[in-house]
Amino acid sequence: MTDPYKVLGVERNATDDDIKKAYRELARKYHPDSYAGSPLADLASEKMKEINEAYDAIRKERSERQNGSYSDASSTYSSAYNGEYAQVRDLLNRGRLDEAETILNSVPSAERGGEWNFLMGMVLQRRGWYYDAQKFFETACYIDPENAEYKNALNALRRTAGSYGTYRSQSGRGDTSLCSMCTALLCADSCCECLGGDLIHCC
Amino acid sequence: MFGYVRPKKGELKVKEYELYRAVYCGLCRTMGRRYGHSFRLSLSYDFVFLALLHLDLTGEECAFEKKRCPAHPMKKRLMMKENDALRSSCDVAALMLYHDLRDKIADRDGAKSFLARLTLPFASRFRKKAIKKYGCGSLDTFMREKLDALSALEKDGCTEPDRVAGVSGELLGKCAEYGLTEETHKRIAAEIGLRIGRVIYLIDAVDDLDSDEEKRHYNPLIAENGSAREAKTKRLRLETALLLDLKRADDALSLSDGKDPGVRALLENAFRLGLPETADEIFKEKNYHD
Repeated sequence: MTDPYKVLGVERNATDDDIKKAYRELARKYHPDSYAGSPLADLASEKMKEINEAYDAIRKERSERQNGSYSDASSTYSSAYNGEYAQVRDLLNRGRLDEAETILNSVPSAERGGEWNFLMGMVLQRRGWYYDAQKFFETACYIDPENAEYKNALNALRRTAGSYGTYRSQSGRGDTSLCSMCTALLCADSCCECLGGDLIHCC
Repeated sequence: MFGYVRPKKGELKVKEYELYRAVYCGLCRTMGRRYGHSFRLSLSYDFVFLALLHLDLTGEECAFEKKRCPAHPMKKRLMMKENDALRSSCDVAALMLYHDLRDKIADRDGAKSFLARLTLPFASRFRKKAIKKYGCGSLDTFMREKLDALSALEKDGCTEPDRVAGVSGELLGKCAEYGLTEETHKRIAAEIGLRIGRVIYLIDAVDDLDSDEEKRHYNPLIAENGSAREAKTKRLRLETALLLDLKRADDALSLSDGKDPGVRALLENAFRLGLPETADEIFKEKNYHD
């Protein structure tokens, strides 16, 4: 395997923060969202995988060095906090938002990965802070673009808002014509795609 | 206040529009009766909304009369006779005017703060009367507390728009429940006030983006995004948040029995059409996009 430090472009003696920064930077560069629809999407995702593996490897190596042992955390970021996250989910279910938030805030910022951002978004959503909630969901989706749970949370918010917004588009604005019909169809199409189906095959 | 909360006129039935006008004129008259004619100049749509909300919740019987009004002396107008809803909305407006001016003076923003200094003595008289004669003391204390909390967050440069908007919402929530007696009514009013207060705060933040950046004033969206330019790329997020807040207000309203369909139609119009329209106009004006 190639040297993980080389993959991230950092020195061997780089600090944890430097490594995280380098990782973030590269992850942003090769993020699938930037390549959506591009013929090079597969190359980018290859690259992304490489970066994730390198980052995991370095973290594993360093934590072994530190603790003498290695907890079998496997995925990028945050898996050391599985117990905390399960507890947060439980608290969310019981509506104890403040306690859930306290636990989340106790996770050091370097460890805050996709799940952390998702859960924080859930806390804020329950509180009715929809603006900041979306921000955390967006970050969660960004860190872990494959995760359906994160994506669904964000899309559900947007769908609800979108359907409330239709009161306005239904009220005659004078331009209700073919154009708005197309928009409606496109909306319906993307809704279908969210759920795994497809309404209009060509888009 | 800002006057953002109003129905979209074109979508109203004629009788609904007449009702709206009658409440508007009734509130104006109540303001004159309770605090003197100069207070009538501060009339705002937001307080008409507050009166409508109370009318919907309590379902109190309303009487109307045809009167002449000094601002439009040519024709007699239909206006709602003074009632509890108009009175409490009017008292809230008196307190709000004072605290709003105090904040403007504290902002030290040239012309605005000069004008505020000129009007403050009047507002201070209205406030004293509201507290002494009409018993608004505890609401006044609460308002001051929340506004202090708000300016503390602003001074801190809070980067979470929802946190700041939330405080503003709590303030309006308390205002909305002022004067109501039944527990259920209070709870519904508080939730609607909270949601609408948040919406007003966020819309106002968008409206002020450019001037705040120019004058280096605090603006939650600039604090969050670093610059007005960057903030303007977050339209989807902000619009989604606004619509979800409005939906919550709308949902809360549907828990009220609402005896008068006209009043209900006006409120629903404001949530579903009026406010989204206002927001949309401001987004367009500020060139908001994704």
